[in-house]
Amino acid sequence: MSGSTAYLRKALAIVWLHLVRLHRYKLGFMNMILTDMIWYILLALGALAFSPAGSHSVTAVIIFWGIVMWSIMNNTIWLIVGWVRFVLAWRIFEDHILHNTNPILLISGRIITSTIVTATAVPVIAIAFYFLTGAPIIFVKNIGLMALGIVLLIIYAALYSMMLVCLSLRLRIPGAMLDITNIAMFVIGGLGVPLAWMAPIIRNIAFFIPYTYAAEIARAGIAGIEPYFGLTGTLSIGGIYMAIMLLTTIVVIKYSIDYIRRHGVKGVGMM
Amino acid sequence: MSELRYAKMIVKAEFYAYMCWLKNNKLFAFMTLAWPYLMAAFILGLGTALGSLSVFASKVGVGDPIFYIVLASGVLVSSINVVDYSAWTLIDLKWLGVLPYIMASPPGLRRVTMYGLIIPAMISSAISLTAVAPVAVFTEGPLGLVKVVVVLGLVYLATIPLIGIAVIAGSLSLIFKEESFVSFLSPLMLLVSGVYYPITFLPKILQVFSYIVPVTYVVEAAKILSVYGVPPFDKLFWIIGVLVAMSISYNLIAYPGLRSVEKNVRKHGIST
Repeated sequence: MSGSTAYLRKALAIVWLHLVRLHRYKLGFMNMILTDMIWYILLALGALAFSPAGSHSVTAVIIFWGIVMWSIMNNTIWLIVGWVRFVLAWRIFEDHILHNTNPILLISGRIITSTIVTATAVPVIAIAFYFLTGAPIIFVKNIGLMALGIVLLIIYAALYSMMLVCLSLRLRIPGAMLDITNIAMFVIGGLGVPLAWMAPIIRNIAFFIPYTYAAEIARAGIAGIEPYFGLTGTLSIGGIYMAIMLLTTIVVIKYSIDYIRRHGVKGVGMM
Repeated sequence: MSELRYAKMIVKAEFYAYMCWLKNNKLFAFMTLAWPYLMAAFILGLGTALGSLSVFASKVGVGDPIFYIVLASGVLVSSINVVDYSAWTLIDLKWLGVLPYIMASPPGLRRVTMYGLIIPAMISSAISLTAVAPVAVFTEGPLGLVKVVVVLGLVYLATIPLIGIAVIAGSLSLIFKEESFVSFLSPLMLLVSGVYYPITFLPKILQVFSYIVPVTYVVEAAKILSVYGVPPFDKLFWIIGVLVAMSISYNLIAYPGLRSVEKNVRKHGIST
Protein backbone atom coordinates (compact mmCIF):
# COMPACT_ATOMS: atom_id res chain seq x y z
CA MET A 1 0.00 0.00 0.00
CA SER A 2 1.44 3.40 -0.93
CA GLY A 3 2.19 5.96 1.76
CA SER A 4 -0.59 8.32 0.78
CA THR A 5 -3.19 5.53 0.61
CA ALA A 6 -2.16 4.26 4.04
CA TYR A 7 -2.37 7.78 5.43
CA LEU A 8 -5.82 8.27 3.93
CA ARG A 9 -7.02 4.98 5.41
CA LYS A 10 -5.74 6.03 8.85
CA ALA A 11 -7.43 9.41 8.53
CA LEU A 12 -10.71 7.74 7.53
CA ALA A 13 -10.41 5.31 10.45
CA ILE A 14 -9.98 8.25 12.82
CA VAL A 15 -13.02 10.05 11.36
CA TRP A 16 -15.04 6.81 11.70
CA LEU A 17 -13.86 6.39 15.31
CA HIS A 18 -14.98 9.86 16.33
CA LEU A 19 -18.34 9.52 14.58
CA VAL A 20 -18.94 6.18 16.29
CA ARG A 21 -18.00 7.70 19.67
CA LEU A 22 -20.43 10.54 19.05
CA HIS A 23 -23.19 8.05 18.31
CA ARG A 24 -22.22 5.84 21.23
CA TYR A 25 -21.99 8.62 23.83
CA LYS A 26 -25.28 10.37 23.18
CA LEU A 27 -25.61 11.74 26.71
CA GLY A 28 -22.08 13.11 26.58
CA PHE A 29 -22.88 14.77 23.26
CA MET A 30 -26.03 16.37 24.70
CA ASN A 31 -24.00 17.43 27.71
CA MET A 32 -21.47 19.22 25.50
CA ILE A 33 -24.21 21.10 23.64
CA LEU A 34 -25.92 22.05 26.91
CA THR A 35 -22.62 23.18 28.46
CA ASP A 36 -21.95 25.33 25.41
CA MET A 37 -25.35 26.93 25.53
CA ILE A 38 -25.08 27.69 29.24
CA TRP A 39 -21.72 29.42 28.80
CA TYR A 40 -23.08 31.52 25.89
CA ILE A 41 -25.99 32.71 28.03
CA LEU A 42 -23.88 33.25 31.15
CA LEU A 43 -21.34 35.46 29.36
CA ALA A 44 -23.99 37.30 27.34
CA LEU A 45 -26.00 38.11 30.48
CA GLY A 46 -22.78 39.20 32.21
CA ALA A 47 -22.07 41.63 29.37
CA LEU A 48 -25.66 42.90 29.34
CA ALA A 49 -25.29 43.80 33.03
CA PHE A 50 -22.83 46.51 31.92
CA SER A 51 -24.99 48.03 29.20
CA PRO A 52 -27.46 50.82 30.00
CA ALA A 53 -31.18 50.04 29.84
CA GLY A 54 -32.66 50.54 26.39
CA SER A 55 -29.45 49.73 24.51
CA HIS A 56 -29.88 45.97 24.82
CA SER A 57 -31.07 45.43 21.25
CA VAL A 58 -28.05 47.25 19.76
CA THR A 59 -25.41 45.71 21.99
CA ALA A 60 -26.96 42.26 21.95
CA VAL A 61 -26.00 41.71 18.28
CA ILE A 62 -22.38 42.71 18.94
CA ILE A 63 -22.23 40.72 22.17
CA PHE A 64 -23.89 37.64 20.79
CA TRP A 65 -21.76 37.05 17.68
CA GLY A 66 -18.58 38.06 19.50
CA ILE A 67 -19.29 35.50 22.20
CA VAL A 68 -20.28 32.87 19.61
CA MET A 69 -16.99 33.29 17.73
CA TRP A 70 -14.98 33.30 20.94
CA SER A 71 -16.81 30.20 22.18
CA ILE A 72 -16.24 28.35 18.88
CA MET A 73 -12.53 29.06 19.21
CA ASN A 74 -12.49 28.16 22.90
CA ASN A 75 -14.56 24.96 22.48
CA THR A 76 -12.43 23.67 19.65
CA ILE A 77 -9.33 24.16 21.78
CA TRP A 78 -10.78 22.65 24.97
CA LEU A 79 -12.39 19.66 23.29
CA ILE A 80 -9.17 18.77 21.48
CA VAL A 81 -6.64 19.41 24.24
CA GLY A 82 -8.95 18.12 26.99
CA TRP A 83 -9.02 14.73 25.31
CA VAL A 84 -5.33 14.12 26.05
CA ARG A 85 -6.31 13.05 29.57
CA PHE A 86 -8.67 10.39 28.17
CA VAL A 87 -6.13 9.11 25.63
CA LEU A 88 -3.45 8.78 28.31
CA ALA A 89 -5.79 7.26 30.92
CA TRP A 90 -6.92 4.60 28.46
CA ARG A 91 -3.30 3.97 27.48
CA ILE A 92 -4.04 4.20 23.76
CA PHE A 93 -1.34 6.78 23.07
CA GLU A 94 1.47 4.22 22.88
CA ASP A 95 -0.78 1.79 21.00
CA HIS A 96 -1.12 4.23 18.15
CA ILE A 97 2.62 4.84 18.00
CA LEU A 98 3.19 1.06 17.89
CA HIS A 99 0.71 0.80 15.02
CA ASN A 100 2.56 3.53 13.17
CA THR A 101 -0.30 6.03 13.55
CA ASN A 102 0.36 9.48 14.87
CA PRO A 103 -1.61 9.82 18.17
CA ILE A 104 -1.84 13.58 17.65
CA LEU A 105 -3.82 12.85 14.47
CA LEU A 106 -6.15 10.70 16.58
CA ILE A 107 -6.59 13.55 19.10
CA SER A 108 -7.10 16.12 16.34
CA GLY A 109 -10.14 14.09 15.21
CA ARG A 110 -11.97 15.76 18.09
CA ILE A 111 -12.48 18.64 15.69
CA ILE A 112 -15.37 16.56 14.31
CA THR A 113 -17.01 16.50 17.75
CA SER A 114 -16.44 20.20 18.39
CA THR A 115 -17.77 21.22 14.97
CA ILE A 116 -20.94 19.16 15.36
CA VAL A 117 -21.48 20.53 18.88
CA THR A 118 -21.04 24.10 17.63
CA ALA A 119 -23.27 23.57 14.61
CA THR A 120 -26.03 22.29 16.89
CA ALA A 121 -25.66 24.74 19.77
CA VAL A 122 -25.29 28.04 17.87
CA PRO A 123 -28.61 28.03 15.94
CA VAL A 124 -30.55 26.93 19.04
CA ILE A 125 -29.02 29.58 21.26
CA ALA A 126 -29.34 32.24 18.50
CA ILE A 127 -33.09 31.63 18.31
CA ALA A 128 -33.39 31.56 22.13
CA PHE A 129 -31.43 34.81 22.46
CA TYR A 130 -33.53 36.40 19.69
CA PHE A 131 -36.70 35.69 21.63
CA LEU A 132 -35.06 36.77 24.92
CA THR A 133 -33.74 40.16 23.75
CA GLY A 134 -35.62 40.82 20.50
CA ALA A 135 -32.30 41.77 18.87
CA PRO A 136 -32.06 40.88 15.14
CA ILE A 137 -29.19 38.45 15.63
CA ILE A 138 -30.52 35.73 13.35
CA PHE A 139 -30.78 37.88 10.21
CA VAL A 140 -27.29 37.61 8.66
CA LYS A 141 -26.32 39.51 5.51
CA ASN A 142 -24.29 36.82 3.73
CA ILE A 143 -24.41 33.31 5.14
CA GLY A 144 -21.61 32.05 2.85
CA LEU A 145 -19.11 34.64 4.11
CA MET A 146 -20.15 34.00 7.69
CA ALA A 147 -19.61 30.26 7.24
CA LEU A 148 -16.22 30.85 5.58
CA GLY A 149 -15.07 33.03 8.49
CA ILE A 150 -16.23 30.46 11.05
CA VAL A 151 -14.55 27.57 9.18
CA LEU A 152 -11.31 29.55 9.08
CA LEU A 153 -11.67 30.24 12.82
CA ILE A 154 -12.12 26.51 13.53
CA ILE A 155 -9.04 25.64 11.43
CA TYR A 156 -6.86 28.18 13.28
CA ALA A 157 -8.15 26.95 16.66
CA ALA A 158 -7.56 23.29 15.70
CA LEU A 159 -3.98 23.94 14.58
CA TYR A 160 -3.27 25.92 17.76
CA SER A 161 -4.84 23.09 19.81
CA MET A 162 -2.52 20.52 18.28
CA MET A 163 0.44 22.66 19.28
CA LEU A 164 -0.98 22.87 22.82
CA VAL A 165 -1.43 19.07 22.89
CA CYS A 166 2.27 18.67 22.04
CA LEU A 167 3.23 21.23 24.65
CA SER A 168 1.09 19.56 27.33
CA LEU A 169 2.75 16.21 26.63
CA ARG A 170 6.16 17.85 26.98
CA LEU A 171 5.37 19.95 30.10
CA ARG A 172 2.81 17.53 31.65
CA ILE A 173 0.31 20.32 32.21
CA PRO A 174 -3.23 19.95 30.83
CA GLY A 175 -3.37 21.84 27.55
CA ALA A 176 -6.54 23.63 28.59
CA MET A 177 -4.66 25.12 31.55
CA LEU A 178 -1.93 26.29 29.18
CA ASP A 179 -4.43 28.13 27.06
CA ILE A 180 -4.20 31.37 28.99
CA THR A 181 -4.35 33.46 25.84
CA ASN A 182 -7.89 32.43 24.91
CA ILE A 183 -9.59 34.99 27.13
CA ALA A 184 -7.52 37.86 25.73
CA MET A 185 -8.48 36.78 22.21
CA PHE A 186 -11.90 38.35 22.60
CA VAL A 187 -10.35 41.79 22.32
CA ILE A 188 -6.84 41.44 20.89
CA GLY A 189 -7.84 38.55 18.65
CA GLY A 190 -10.49 40.71 17.04
CA LEU A 191 -13.29 38.28 17.90
CA GLY A 192 -15.42 40.74 19.84
CA VAL A 193 -14.47 44.03 18.23
CA PRO A 194 -13.90 44.85 14.51
CA LEU A 195 -10.36 46.02 13.62
CA ALA A 196 -11.66 49.42 12.53
CA TRP A 197 -13.19 50.08 15.96
CA MET A 198 -10.09 49.15 17.96
CA ALA A 199 -7.73 51.55 19.66
CA PRO A 200 -4.56 51.83 17.48
CA ILE A 201 -2.34 50.10 20.06
CA ILE A 202 -4.67 47.08 20.32
CA ARG A 203 -5.13 47.02 16.55
CA ASN A 204 -1.35 46.76 16.10
CA ILE A 205 -1.38 43.63 18.29
CA ALA A 206 -4.49 42.22 16.57
CA PHE A 207 -2.75 42.35 13.17
CA PHE A 208 -0.51 39.51 14.38
CA ILE A 209 -3.33 37.26 15.60
CA PRO A 210 -4.80 34.97 12.91
CA TYR A 211 -8.29 34.88 14.49
CA THR A 212 -8.66 38.60 13.64
CA TYR A 213 -8.94 37.83 9.91
CA ALA A 214 -11.38 34.96 10.36
CA ALA A 215 -13.55 37.20 12.55
CA GLU A 216 -13.39 40.09 10.05
CA ILE A 217 -14.64 37.78 7.27
CA ALA A 218 -17.38 36.33 9.50
CA ARG A 219 -18.50 39.82 10.59
CA ALA A 220 -18.70 40.92 6.94
CA GLY A 221 -21.15 38.07 6.45
CA ILE A 222 -23.07 38.64 9.69
CA ALA A 223 -23.49 42.41 9.78
CA GLY A 224 -22.05 43.59 6.46
CA ILE A 225 -19.15 45.36 8.21
CA GLU A 226 -16.41 45.93 5.61
CA PRO A 227 -13.13 44.24 6.71
CA TYR A 228 -10.28 46.64 7.58
CA PHE A 229 -8.11 45.39 4.68
CA GLY A 230 -11.04 44.82 2.32
CA LEU A 231 -12.42 41.35 1.65
CA THR A 232 -9.71 40.21 -0.79
CA GLY A 233 -6.89 41.54 1.39
CA THR A 234 -8.32 39.89 4.51
CA LEU A 235 -8.79 36.57 2.70
CA SER A 236 -5.19 36.69 1.44
CA ILE A 237 -3.70 37.48 4.85
CA GLY A 238 -5.91 34.82 6.44
CA GLY A 239 -4.63 32.27 3.91
CA ILE A 240 -0.99 33.17 4.57
CA TYR A 241 -1.54 32.78 8.32
CA MET A 242 -3.16 29.40 7.77
CA ALA A 243 -0.16 28.17 5.76
CA ILE A 244 2.28 29.41 8.43
CA MET A 245 0.31 27.80 11.24
CA LEU A 246 -0.01 24.52 9.33
CA LEU A 247 3.75 24.31 8.75
CA THR A 248 4.53 25.24 12.37
CA THR A 249 2.09 22.63 13.66
CA ILE A 250 3.63 19.89 11.50
CA VAL A 251 7.11 20.75 12.81
CA VAL A 252 5.93 20.87 16.45
CA ILE A 253 4.11 17.52 16.14
CA LYS A 254 7.19 15.90 14.60
CA TYR A 255 9.41 17.24 17.39
CA SER A 256 7.03 16.12 20.14
CA ILE A 257 6.52 12.61 18.76
CA ASP A 258 10.31 12.21 18.40
CA TYR A 259 10.67 13.35 22.02
CA ILE A 260 8.01 10.87 23.23
CA ARG A 261 9.60 8.00 21.29
CA ARG A 262 12.87 8.70 23.11
CA HIS A 263 11.56 9.55 26.60
CA GLY A 264 8.18 7.78 26.78
CA VAL A 265 4.72 9.16 27.57
CA LYS A 266 4.16 10.72 30.96
CA GLY A 267 0.92 11.59 32.70
CA VAL A 268 -0.52 15.03 32.22
CA GLY A 269 -1.92 17.12 35.06
CA MET A 270 -3.32 15.26 38.01
CA MET A 271 -2.28 11.80 36.88
CA MET B 1 -12.70 0.74 62.71
CA SER B 2 -14.66 3.80 63.74
CA GLU B 3 -16.08 6.23 61.19
CA LEU B 4 -13.91 9.05 62.52
CA ARG B 5 -10.78 6.98 62.15
CA TYR B 6 -11.65 6.15 58.54
CA ALA B 7 -12.31 9.83 57.85
CA LYS B 8 -8.95 10.84 59.39
CA MET B 9 -7.03 8.21 57.42
CA ILE B 10 -8.63 9.09 54.09
CA VAL B 11 -8.26 12.83 54.58
CA LYS B 12 -4.59 12.39 55.55
CA ALA B 13 -3.88 10.17 52.54
CA GLU B 14 -5.71 12.49 50.15
CA PHE B 15 -3.89 15.53 51.55
CA TYR B 16 -0.53 13.83 50.98
CA ALA B 17 -1.52 12.74 47.45
CA TYR B 18 -2.81 16.19 46.51
CA MET B 19 0.29 17.97 47.85
CA CYS B 20 2.47 15.57 45.88
CA TRP B 21 0.46 16.31 42.74
CA LEU B 22 0.85 20.04 43.27
CA LYS B 23 4.57 19.60 43.96
CA ASN B 24 4.97 17.66 40.73
CA ASN B 25 2.86 20.13 38.79
CA LYS B 26 4.06 23.53 39.93
CA LEU B 27 3.04 25.19 36.69
CA PHE B 28 -0.41 23.64 37.08
CA ALA B 29 -0.67 25.22 40.55
CA PHE B 30 0.45 28.55 39.10
CA MET B 31 -2.21 28.36 36.39
CA THR B 32 -4.85 27.77 39.09
CA LEU B 33 -3.73 31.07 40.62
CA ALA B 34 -4.04 32.89 37.30
CA TRP B 35 -7.54 31.70 36.32
CA PRO B 36 -9.65 34.03 38.56
CA TYR B 37 -7.80 37.03 37.10
CA LEU B 38 -8.25 35.81 33.54
CA MET B 39 -11.97 35.33 34.11
CA ALA B 40 -12.29 38.75 35.78
CA ALA B 41 -10.30 40.38 32.96
CA PHE B 42 -12.56 38.75 30.37
CA ILE B 43 -15.82 39.91 31.89
CA LEU B 44 -14.42 43.38 32.64
CA GLY B 45 -13.07 43.71 29.09
CA LEU B 46 -16.30 42.46 27.55
CA GLY B 47 -18.51 44.58 29.78
CA THR B 48 -16.60 47.86 29.62
CA ALA B 49 -16.35 47.56 25.83
CA LEU B 50 -20.15 47.62 25.70
CA GLY B 51 -21.14 49.58 28.78
CA SER B 52 -19.79 50.92 32.04
CA LEU B 53 -18.84 49.80 35.54
CA SER B 54 -21.32 52.22 37.11
CA VAL B 55 -24.22 50.60 35.23
CA PHE B 56 -22.95 47.19 36.38
CA ALA B 57 -22.74 48.39 40.00
CA SER B 58 -26.30 49.72 40.00
CA LYS B 59 -27.80 46.71 38.17
CA VAL B 60 -26.05 44.04 40.24
CA GLY B 61 -26.29 46.02 43.48
CA VAL B 62 -22.63 46.07 44.47
CA GLY B 63 -20.52 48.82 45.99
CA ASP B 64 -17.13 48.41 44.34
CA PRO B 65 -17.63 46.64 40.99
CA ILE B 66 -13.95 45.78 40.44
CA PHE B 67 -13.59 44.28 43.92
CA TYR B 68 -16.82 42.35 43.41
CA ILE B 69 -15.93 41.02 39.92
CA VAL B 70 -12.51 39.83 41.09
CA LEU B 71 -13.98 38.23 44.23
CA ALA B 72 -16.85 36.68 42.25
CA SER B 73 -14.34 35.30 39.73
CA GLY B 74 -12.52 33.65 42.65
CA VAL B 75 -15.83 32.10 43.77
CA LEU B 76 -16.60 31.06 40.19
CA VAL B 77 -13.25 29.30 39.69
CA SER B 78 -13.49 27.66 43.15
CA SER B 79 -16.97 26.32 42.37
CA ILE B 80 -15.89 24.97 38.99
CA ASN B 81 -12.88 23.30 40.62
CA VAL B 82 -14.96 21.71 43.40
CA VAL B 83 -17.76 20.40 41.18
CA ASP B 84 -15.57 19.31 38.29
CA TYR B 85 -12.95 17.68 40.49
CA SER B 86 -15.57 15.82 42.52
CA ALA B 87 -17.51 14.63 39.48
CA TRP B 88 -14.42 13.78 37.46
CA THR B 89 -12.61 11.87 40.20
CA LEU B 90 -14.95 8.89 39.83
CA ILE B 91 -14.64 9.02 36.05
CA ASP B 92 -10.84 9.20 36.33
CA LEU B 93 -10.81 6.21 38.70
CA LYS B 94 -13.02 4.35 36.22
CA TRP B 95 -10.70 5.18 33.31
CA LEU B 96 -7.61 4.18 35.27
CA GLY B 97 -9.22 0.85 36.22
CA VAL B 98 -8.65 1.23 39.99
CA LEU B 99 -12.29 1.37 41.09
CA PRO B 100 -12.50 -2.37 41.90
CA TYR B 101 -9.52 -2.03 44.27
CA ILE B 102 -11.08 0.96 46.02
CA MET B 103 -14.37 -0.90 46.38
CA ALA B 104 -12.59 -3.92 47.82
CA SER B 105 -10.61 -1.77 50.31
CA PRO B 106 -11.87 -1.58 53.95
CA PRO B 107 -13.19 2.03 53.74
CA GLY B 108 -14.97 1.34 50.42
CA LEU B 109 -15.96 3.69 47.63
CA ARG B 110 -18.41 5.82 49.62
CA ARG B 111 -15.97 6.88 52.30
CA VAL B 112 -13.06 7.34 49.90
CA THR B 113 -15.09 9.68 47.68
CA MET B 114 -17.06 11.58 50.33
CA TYR B 115 -14.17 12.19 52.75
CA GLY B 116 -11.38 12.17 50.20
CA LEU B 117 -12.82 14.91 48.00
CA ILE B 118 -12.98 17.47 50.79
CA ILE B 119 -9.23 18.10 50.85
CA PRO B 120 -8.66 18.82 47.12
CA ALA B 121 -11.80 20.99 47.17
CA MET B 122 -10.51 22.98 50.15
CA ILE B 123 -7.01 23.41 48.76
CA SER B 124 -8.14 24.43 45.27
CA SER B 125 -10.65 26.92 46.73
CA ALA B 126 -7.96 28.35 48.99
CA ILE B 127 -5.63 28.77 46.00
CA SER B 128 -8.30 30.51 43.88
CA LEU B 129 -9.36 32.89 46.64
CA THR B 130 -5.84 33.55 47.92
CA ALA B 131 -5.02 34.58 44.37
CA VAL B 132 -7.58 37.39 44.49
CA ALA B 133 -6.44 38.63 47.91
CA PRO B 134 -3.90 41.18 46.55
CA VAL B 135 -6.62 42.94 44.52
CA ALA B 136 -8.95 42.85 47.54
CA VAL B 137 -6.26 44.50 49.69
CA PHE B 138 -5.49 47.03 46.96
CA THR B 139 -9.12 48.08 46.50
CA GLU B 140 -10.42 47.80 50.08
CA GLY B 141 -7.32 47.83 52.31
CA PRO B 142 -6.88 45.27 55.14
CA LEU B 143 -10.68 44.96 55.36
CA GLY B 144 -10.60 43.50 51.85
CA LEU B 145 -8.43 40.65 53.14
CA VAL B 146 -10.93 39.97 55.93
CA LYS B 147 -13.72 39.86 53.33
CA VAL B 148 -11.78 37.35 51.23
CA VAL B 149 -11.33 35.16 54.33
CA VAL B 150 -15.09 35.37 55.06
CA VAL B 151 -15.91 34.38 51.46
CA LEU B 152 -13.38 31.52 51.66
CA GLY B 153 -15.13 30.29 54.81
CA LEU B 154 -18.48 30.40 53.02
CA VAL B 155 -17.00 28.63 49.99
CA TYR B 156 -15.79 25.87 52.36
CA LEU B 157 -19.27 25.62 53.80
CA ALA B 158 -20.78 25.48 50.30
CA THR B 159 -18.23 22.84 49.32
CA ILE B 160 -19.91 20.21 51.49
CA PRO B 161 -23.28 20.24 49.66
CA LEU B 162 -21.51 20.80 46.33
CA ILE B 163 -19.49 17.61 46.81
CA GLY B 164 -22.70 15.74 47.60
CA ILE B 165 -24.30 16.93 44.34
CA ALA B 166 -21.17 16.33 42.25
CA VAL B 167 -20.49 12.86 43.65
CA ILE B 168 -24.01 11.69 42.87
CA ALA B 169 -23.78 13.14 39.37
CA GLY B 170 -20.33 11.63 38.83
CA SER B 171 -21.40 8.24 40.16
CA LEU B 172 -24.10 8.01 37.46
CA SER B 173 -21.28 7.58 34.95
CA LEU B 174 -20.50 4.25 36.66
CA ILE B 175 -24.00 2.97 35.87
CA PHE B 176 -24.62 4.45 32.43
CA LYS B 177 -22.51 3.36 29.49
CA GLU B 178 -21.24 6.88 29.03
CA GLU B 179 -17.91 8.61 29.44
CA SER B 180 -19.03 11.85 31.00
CA PHE B 181 -22.27 13.75 30.87
CA VAL B 182 -22.12 15.90 33.96
CA SER B 183 -19.82 18.75 32.95
CA PHE B 184 -22.85 21.00 32.39
CA LEU B 185 -23.37 20.99 36.17
CA SER B 186 -20.81 23.63 37.12
CA PRO B 187 -21.79 26.20 34.43
CA LEU B 188 -25.48 25.56 35.22
CA MET B 189 -24.91 26.32 38.92
CA LEU B 190 -22.99 29.45 37.99
CA LEU B 191 -25.68 30.52 35.54
CA VAL B 192 -28.43 30.38 38.14
CA SER B 193 -26.28 31.85 40.92
CA GLY B 194 -26.09 35.19 39.07
CA VAL B 195 -22.37 35.52 39.51
CA TYR B 196 -22.00 38.39 36.99
CA TYR B 197 -25.58 39.71 36.81
CA PRO B 198 -28.70 39.99 38.97
CA ILE B 199 -30.77 36.82 39.20
CA THR B 200 -33.76 38.81 37.92
CA PHE B 201 -32.20 38.59 34.41
CA LEU B 202 -33.11 34.90 34.41
CA PRO B 203 -36.48 33.31 33.58
CA LYS B 204 -38.68 32.69 36.63
CA ILE B 205 -38.08 28.93 36.65
CA LEU B 206 -34.30 29.39 36.85
CA GLN B 207 -34.75 32.01 39.58
CA VAL B 208 -36.61 29.42 41.66
CA PHE B 209 -33.95 26.80 40.87
CA SER B 210 -31.23 29.19 42.07
CA TYR B 211 -32.54 28.93 45.65
CA ILE B 212 -31.41 25.29 45.90
CA VAL B 213 -27.92 25.96 44.54
CA PRO B 214 -25.29 26.58 47.27
CA VAL B 215 -23.17 28.88 45.07
CA THR B 216 -26.07 31.39 44.93
CA TYR B 217 -25.61 32.10 48.64
CA VAL B 218 -21.83 32.52 48.39
CA VAL B 219 -22.35 34.96 45.49
CA GLU B 220 -24.99 36.79 47.56
CA ALA B 221 -22.51 37.08 50.44
CA ALA B 222 -19.86 38.45 48.05
CA LYS B 223 -22.39 41.09 46.89
CA ILE B 224 -23.19 42.04 50.50
CA LEU B 225 -19.49 42.27 51.38
CA SER B 226 -18.79 44.54 48.41
CA VAL B 227 -21.46 47.01 49.54
CA TYR B 228 -20.75 47.35 53.23
CA GLY B 229 -17.59 48.27 55.12
CA VAL B 230 -18.81 46.21 58.04
CA PRO B 231 -21.40 43.80 56.67
CA PRO B 232 -24.77 43.21 58.36
CA PHE B 233 -24.07 40.05 60.35
CA ASP B 234 -27.71 38.97 60.45
CA LYS B 235 -27.66 38.52 56.66
CA LEU B 236 -24.36 36.62 56.78
CA PHE B 237 -25.62 34.37 59.60
CA TRP B 238 -28.74 33.67 57.59
CA ILE B 239 -26.56 32.60 54.62
CA ILE B 240 -24.45 30.41 56.94
CA GLY B 241 -27.64 28.81 58.26
CA VAL B 242 -28.89 28.01 54.75
CA LEU B 243 -25.53 26.50 53.76
CA VAL B 244 -25.41 24.35 56.92
CA ALA B 245 -28.94 23.11 56.21
CA MET B 246 -27.93 22.30 52.61
CA SER B 247 -24.78 20.50 53.79
CA ILE B 248 -26.86 18.21 55.99
CA SER B 249 -29.78 17.64 53.65
CA TYR B 250 -27.81 17.16 50.42
CA ASN B 251 -25.41 14.70 52.01
CA LEU B 252 -28.27 12.83 53.64
CA ILE B 253 -29.39 12.17 50.07
CA ALA B 254 -25.93 11.77 48.54
CA TYR B 255 -24.53 9.19 50.96
CA PRO B 256 -27.32 6.60 50.55
CA GLY B 257 -27.43 7.46 46.83
CA LEU B 258 -23.77 6.60 46.50
CA ARG B 259 -24.38 3.40 48.47
CA SER B 260 -27.03 2.27 45.99
CA VAL B 261 -24.72 3.11 43.08
CA GLU B 262 -21.98 1.06 44.76
CA LYS B 263 -24.40 -1.85 45.21
CA ASN B 264 -25.43 -1.63 41.59
CA VAL B 265 -21.82 -1.58 40.43
CA ARG B 266 -20.94 -4.58 42.63
CA LYS B 267 -23.84 -6.48 41.10
CA HIS B 268 -23.56 -5.50 37.43
CA GLY B 269 -19.97 -4.27 37.11
CA ILE B 270 -18.79 -0.85 35.94
CA SER B 271 -20.30 0.30 32.67
CA THR B 272 -17.73 1.41 30.12
